[in-house]
Amino acid sequence: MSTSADTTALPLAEPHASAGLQLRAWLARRAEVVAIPVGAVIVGFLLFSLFLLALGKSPLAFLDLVWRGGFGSPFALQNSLQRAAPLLFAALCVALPARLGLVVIGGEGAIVLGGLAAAAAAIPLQGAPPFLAVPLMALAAALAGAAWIGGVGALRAYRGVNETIASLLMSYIAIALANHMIEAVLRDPASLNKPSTPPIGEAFAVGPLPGLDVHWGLGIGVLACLLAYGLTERTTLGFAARIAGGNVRAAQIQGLPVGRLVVGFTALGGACAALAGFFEVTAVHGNANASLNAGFGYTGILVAFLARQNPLAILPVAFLLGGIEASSGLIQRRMQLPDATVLVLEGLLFLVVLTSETLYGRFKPFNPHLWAEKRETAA
Amino acid sequence: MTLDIVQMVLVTVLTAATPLILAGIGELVTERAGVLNLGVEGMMVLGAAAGFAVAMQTGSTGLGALGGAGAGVLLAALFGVLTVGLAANQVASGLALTILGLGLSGLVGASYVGMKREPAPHLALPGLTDLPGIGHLFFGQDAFVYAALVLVVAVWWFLGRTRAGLTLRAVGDDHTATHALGVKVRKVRFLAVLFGGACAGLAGAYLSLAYTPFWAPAMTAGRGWIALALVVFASWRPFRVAAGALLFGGATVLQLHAQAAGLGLPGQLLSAMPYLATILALVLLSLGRRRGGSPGPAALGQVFTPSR
Repeated sequence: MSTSADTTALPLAEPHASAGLQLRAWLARRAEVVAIPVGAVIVGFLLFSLFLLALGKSPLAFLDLVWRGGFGSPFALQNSLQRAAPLLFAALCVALPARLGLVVIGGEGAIVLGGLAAAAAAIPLQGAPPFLAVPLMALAAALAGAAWIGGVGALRAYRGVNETIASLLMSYIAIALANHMIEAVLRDPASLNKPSTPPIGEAFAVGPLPGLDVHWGLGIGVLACLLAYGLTERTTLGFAARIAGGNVRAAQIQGLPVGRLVVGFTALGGACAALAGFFEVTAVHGNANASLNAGFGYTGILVAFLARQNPLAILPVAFLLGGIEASSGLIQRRMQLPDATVLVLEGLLFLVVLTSETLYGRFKPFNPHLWAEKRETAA
Repeated sequence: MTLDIVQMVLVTVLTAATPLILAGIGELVTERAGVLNLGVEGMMVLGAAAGFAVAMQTGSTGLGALGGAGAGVLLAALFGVLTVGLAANQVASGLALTILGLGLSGLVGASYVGMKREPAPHLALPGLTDLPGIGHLFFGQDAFVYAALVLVVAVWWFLGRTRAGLTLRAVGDDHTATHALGVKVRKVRFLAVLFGGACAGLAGAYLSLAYTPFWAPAMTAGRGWIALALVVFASWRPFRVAAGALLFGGATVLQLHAQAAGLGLPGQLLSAMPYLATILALVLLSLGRRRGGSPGPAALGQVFTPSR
């Protein structure tokens, strides 16, 4: 964070500091925010390369496969974007509550319930005009997710229950509940080998974005990230949430409704995650089945933390991780590595990025207030 | 006859509770030193994979248990270097540790999927073990169960009755003051983190060597998170961790028996019972809590960087 406090301590405040130096200082401080995470990702890949070498596998072959499977061709790119779409929503489920200093990790539960709610809503809506029915299905999904994660927020706000543990335990409950509905209550008798709800039908299927082979979830996901950025950075509500996240007492003294903010932001996050489930059902699977529980919620946690909880930064990070996950099948087949390998890479990246966060303000080229020391020692 | 059924139920409660006791007591010590390690699930699952792998390679359950604990210590050491050494964010590092542990366990265990082992041997004392009604419960368990119970008493004694335990609690309550007294705060915290890792790894090894003697990916199924909740539920006290673990063990067993008895409740819903019970326990605890904050270590989750 570059605040006005550090500007005053700079040599730039000196009257003789040239405009060029000021610009360089401004650029340097901005560059740090990009350079440290990018450097961390590179170090993470290097560590993972050592790990692959220890397993007797070639890191170059791995990178080549990630490139080919995730980014190297139009087909691979569309595949990566398709996987990035649910990650955008899942990451918002972490990043929005994070504004209040909460760590919510139960997005997976909201995704599964959102998908289930969308599929369940499709059953009574059969025959209704799609322009009415599809938004209603999305609403059903969003409400289910909002209630689920908002419930975690309420437990936190009014009962002091740790939201991290509660949200994760709740996602186990959500998955059990969804499995029960899919396998028993809402089961389509025609689904023999793979239990699923009745198909939502062609009419309600969400199609691809114009000119692309990627479904609308990507477009809405990008929009959701932009809106979330606007909400957290450009509205009084987002500002209030940041105050409450920074200092609860101060927020209460200011008369901010901390409890309602907590419930509101967690519910909003849950609604976002649930939309990921909605798109998985309406644009990918065509019904709700066990594939809803595909781990997008857990990867979303990683996306949000790598993006430092910034909704705009979620966009490139989700794309990067979507690409890595899209190439995991290819990596498994060509390199005979188990699918857990991608988890190892993700865990390493996560740890390296966390370590890198302790480095802010320590590198001279990025920190104009350290430039002065050089001048002083030179003089 | 009915006595035997009661005993059978109690034995299952005890065995279901053992991994929670082990992981919970380790996390309790870590948290009492002021470090919140949310990576219990990751250390536990790696312990399960490594323990099973070592046991298959050496043929020894004991070495397997050591291997599991060792794997937990290694992951915990990584966590300790990051959070205690470099002052990285503890909550996020714990999540990262969980992801890494799940990934590494998948790699370690990949070649052991589908293999089975003899479960860890049970104690058999002639005369005592065959005592009707209580013999198997008290004298017929495997070494993990006894180790868990001994550990609870040992940690209670260590924290409450020894000088080192007092130092550890002081570090967790006020690191600045303890530092001023000349205590090496980061060393104490690092050791506490390692102990937590060893316990979590052992808990995982118990799952793959004794509870269900095979390896399956993500076999811990959220027990690490339940153990974390248990520490809060137990107000950071060793005997309450054991009592809480038995309660949750009971919820698990209730689920198994209700399914067997055909109570009409579907299995999928019953499988949610331990998680539901955990959340309910946390909510009930909050109802009974007096105002004035949690009884947890005052410096829990705060980073300490000594001034130079």
